[in-house]
Amino acid sequence: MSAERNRSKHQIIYDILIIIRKNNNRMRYTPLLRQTNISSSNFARYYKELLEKEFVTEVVEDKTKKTVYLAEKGLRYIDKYKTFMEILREFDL
Amino acid sequence: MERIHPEDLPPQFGDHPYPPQFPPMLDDLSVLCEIIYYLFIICMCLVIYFKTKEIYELTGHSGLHYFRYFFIFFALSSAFRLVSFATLFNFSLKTLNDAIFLDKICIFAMLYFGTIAFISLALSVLARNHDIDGRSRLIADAVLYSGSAIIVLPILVMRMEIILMAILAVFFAAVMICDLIREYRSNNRIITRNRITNLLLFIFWILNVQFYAKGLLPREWFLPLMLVSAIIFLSIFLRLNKIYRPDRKYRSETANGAKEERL
Repeated sequence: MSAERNRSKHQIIYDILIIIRKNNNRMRYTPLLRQTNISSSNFARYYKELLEKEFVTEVVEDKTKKTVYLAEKGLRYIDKYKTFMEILREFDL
Repeated sequence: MERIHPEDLPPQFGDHPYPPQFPPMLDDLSVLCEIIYYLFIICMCLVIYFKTKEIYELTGHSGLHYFRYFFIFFALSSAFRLVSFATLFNFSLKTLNDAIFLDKICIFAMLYFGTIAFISLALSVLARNHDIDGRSRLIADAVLYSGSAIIVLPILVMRMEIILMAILAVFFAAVMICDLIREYRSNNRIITRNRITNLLLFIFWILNVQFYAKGLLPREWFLPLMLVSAIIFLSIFLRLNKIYRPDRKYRSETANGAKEERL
């Protein structure tokens, strides 16, 4: 719980995207929630943001099983994340 | 040719019914230096703004949002200063009133965008570790635009730029003190490169405004101050460029770098 508090929103989004990438760019919703190590309500909030920003796409199979796919924009986020953190550190943002 | 009445002429030209001349402090060399300075600043600001565009679009980080605002609005402010120069160069009796009107518009735009730029810089400091998202960001932006107009417009009409300088100085000092207290509590760091840079940028802009307002410092000081100000913008650009260098080795001690390996 404390680890969750210490991570920023951008770090959590990055972590979620990395988990999906390590899983061949696709993953079921529930294992993803488990692996991110954040509460389900918080995860739902971040997941909604990921969908809105088109970092991931979701496909619903059999009306209940959700599969999450890493989108091209999500890959770009992962790619640029370290540069982003460097900018924040360099300019105290 | 239209007859121009002496009272239509700007005060520095007195009663002379002749085509106005540049005031003595605006000789060719200083005008050229000033134009080069503003062109350089505009280029630097635009490069910094567009270099960070992709990362901002991906992350939407509020600190980065206001940091980028500083550069785009400072570029706009400098661009209007250049347009103001252009009106001086295109001075003719036939368009004197138009030129004076255009000059006033340009000066308003210069001060307005400059004020937005420095309030944005202050917000980028205040937004550190705080996400200003969604509706609160819209409100903050609306307050930024309208507040700057409310400050600048009456001051420009009354020709009391010193009040603008004082208001911004008090605001900037308050932000710096808040930032210092917050940082001192967390990690005891008071003097940092960014604080010095922000302070210098603000001081140079205030001095720039006072040169326009024909205030405290002699005009000869403008050239060295411009030079130092340009060096500060160049240093910001170089620091950003260093981050974007393809051969840059990222520091591996970041929590997420380590985490990525574990996941």
